[in-house]
Amino acid sequence: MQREGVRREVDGSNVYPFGVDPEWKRSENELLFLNSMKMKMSVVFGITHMFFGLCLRAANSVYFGNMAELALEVVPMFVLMITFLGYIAFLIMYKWSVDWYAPDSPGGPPNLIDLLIGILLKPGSVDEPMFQGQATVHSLILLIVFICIPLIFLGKPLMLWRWHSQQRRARGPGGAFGAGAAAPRHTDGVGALGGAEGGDADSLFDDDEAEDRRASSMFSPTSASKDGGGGALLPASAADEDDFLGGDDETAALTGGGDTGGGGGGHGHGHGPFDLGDELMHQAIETIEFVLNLMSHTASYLRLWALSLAHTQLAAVFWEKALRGTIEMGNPFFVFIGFAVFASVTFAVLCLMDVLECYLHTLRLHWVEFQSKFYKSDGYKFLPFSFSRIVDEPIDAKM
Amino acid sequence: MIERLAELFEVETNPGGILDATNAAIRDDGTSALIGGGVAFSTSSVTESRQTQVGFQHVAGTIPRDQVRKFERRVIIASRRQAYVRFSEPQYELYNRKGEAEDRVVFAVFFHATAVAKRVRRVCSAYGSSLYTVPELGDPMRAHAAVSSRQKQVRLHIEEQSDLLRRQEAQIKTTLMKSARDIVHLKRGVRREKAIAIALNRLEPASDTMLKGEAWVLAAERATVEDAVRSAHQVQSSGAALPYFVNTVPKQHWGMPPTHFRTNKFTKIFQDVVDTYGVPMYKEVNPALFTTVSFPFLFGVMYGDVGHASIIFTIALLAVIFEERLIRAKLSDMLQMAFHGRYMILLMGFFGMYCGLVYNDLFGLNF
Repeated sequence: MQREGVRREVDGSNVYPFGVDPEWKRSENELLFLNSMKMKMSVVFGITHMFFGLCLRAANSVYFGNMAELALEVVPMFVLMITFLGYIAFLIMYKWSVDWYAPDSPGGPPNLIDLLIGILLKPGSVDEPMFQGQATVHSLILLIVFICIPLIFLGKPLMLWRWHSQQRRARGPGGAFGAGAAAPRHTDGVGALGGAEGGDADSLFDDDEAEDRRASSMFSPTSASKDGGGGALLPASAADEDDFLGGDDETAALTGGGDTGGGGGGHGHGHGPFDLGDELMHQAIETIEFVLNLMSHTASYLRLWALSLAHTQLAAVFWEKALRGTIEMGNPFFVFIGFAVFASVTFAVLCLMDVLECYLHTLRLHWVEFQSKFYKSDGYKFLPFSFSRIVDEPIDAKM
Repeated sequence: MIERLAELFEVETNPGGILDATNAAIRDDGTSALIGGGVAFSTSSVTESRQTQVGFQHVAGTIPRDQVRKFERRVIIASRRQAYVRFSEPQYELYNRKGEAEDRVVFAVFFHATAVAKRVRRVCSAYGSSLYTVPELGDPMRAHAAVSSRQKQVRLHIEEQSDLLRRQEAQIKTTLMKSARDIVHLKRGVRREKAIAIALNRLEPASDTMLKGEAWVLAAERATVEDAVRSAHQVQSSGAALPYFVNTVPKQHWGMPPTHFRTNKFTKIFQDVVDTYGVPMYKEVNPALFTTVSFPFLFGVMYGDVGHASIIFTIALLAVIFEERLIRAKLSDMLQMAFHGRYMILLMGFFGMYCGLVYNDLFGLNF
């Protein structure tokens, strides 16, 4: 049916050199085309952004020598993301790169959304195949998804559980507490990292052990009352009395050290008896969140398209109503008035309000969609003792 | 009020018809103006003998209106019916020491026996009544004269006191005005001293003669810290130094170290954006670095329009060019915030222009 339409071959000489061809502006399906392009572009950007976030998570676990997390959490997440989101990005690119109206094309342009829903609802069959063996690819994706999700969910808690029960057996009853302090420290951080690259299951395991010991000894608050975790140059034991030093948040930052120190090495355990139930619960939440976020966060990047559309449409409306209308009247006075309206509305709405709007949405994309992939933000700020901070803080003359 | 009291006495004395003043019963116990002198008179009701001199004492004061009945009963019981209470409305509004208006009634208790006085006074104080001295009273004329002279005295006293108060107030005002000019200065000094005191209080005694303080220090700034410690131990007059040590404590000692990133005026705003969400753990990947690129880019994807973005870009560029001047200028809160993010806005404008080129949008038109 589509092939009956008139086709004009392009030889490349009349292709617009950069960006969207302005000819689209005059076409009837301008919005259809732009929306489709921008939506797909947003999704591809989003996937790239989130994928990069996951890379940073991997970098974190490698740096902290946390091999259990890397192998049992980050790598399955990677696989999941690549097979699922990566496949979406691939389909988008592939659909762009194929001339679906060419005489030798396998069929009309496929509907990507139907295709993606089909992966789950109709496993093993594809209604509008885009390439040979797509059904097999879909089955494979489904298989990988169903392998990865239990791996993310169960892998790390079970590994930690095994390690802890070994520790307990090795040390006998009563030794279950304070694992980090009692265990002999034979590997330093570098050694743990170096050994990790050996790769087989046992050495991986040992590294995690060593790391855990390192983490728990490094991050355990020795005695909270004595040093309170330390606020920068001053340990925060007296922090509650120095409210004048700079408001509540800084005091909180000073005193906060004692609380955050307990988390330890990204494992969230380290002290006290190991509770498999707790760990499983924690991991279940994390797994569910990650899997759901694969879709919801990708969809969230559609705001890139939505705001872009809103911006373009607002600009078009201002131009149409305020300036073009008055120019067509032909009266210079009206043009003068029209331009004043156009300029002020453009500045107020597009250069102030829309900037703020886009800024906030970008902020959200970074805080929620990007940083949730890797960022724990468990730290506290280094606040050196500083007269300029204490003394130059604005003084309320009335108080 | 005193006039009123006098009236009370008149009421009391007039039925007698004959007022024979004697000083016999006058007592002045000298305690804190609690009780007035006595009054002695004979009443005609004592018909048997006009000559009978009856020495009356009195206590006068004010009590809250709602306690009038109870007070009267108490006085009568306490004095075993040997006292007599009269009440009267105060002529002026009464105020307490805080300057609040109070609803009180003037009373006067008359009694004969000295032994009763003590008990009456106790009842009075139990009811929170204020007692007043009433000057010596004799015949009505003299009583009036006494009262009015007393009134005059009181008025004079009030005038003197209020004049004193006025002068004091003025003096306080000038003193405060003088120090108000230096208040910021003074407060800074106080803060400084307080900060030093708090810091010193955190030191722990390490031995009999040494104090120990532990703190995080940037590895790169160790020399600076050592310099500071050395100069703090220098005895200013002689140039000799007191003994001190600066040692590195093993890392395990203190839990997780605080996080610090060196920022310049360009990266500061991006670090601030990240820190608003949460501070990275020590040695955790700092998202701010990547945000410097991805943030303006994603903004550009949404904002993409060459025309509008170039306006943003130009404004930010001007802010960057006239940076020095704008730092010194006093900006409003909103402007200050925008100025703080000038480098971010500059990049946002740049990427907006780039994406506008891709979208082929200029003020909503294509080109």
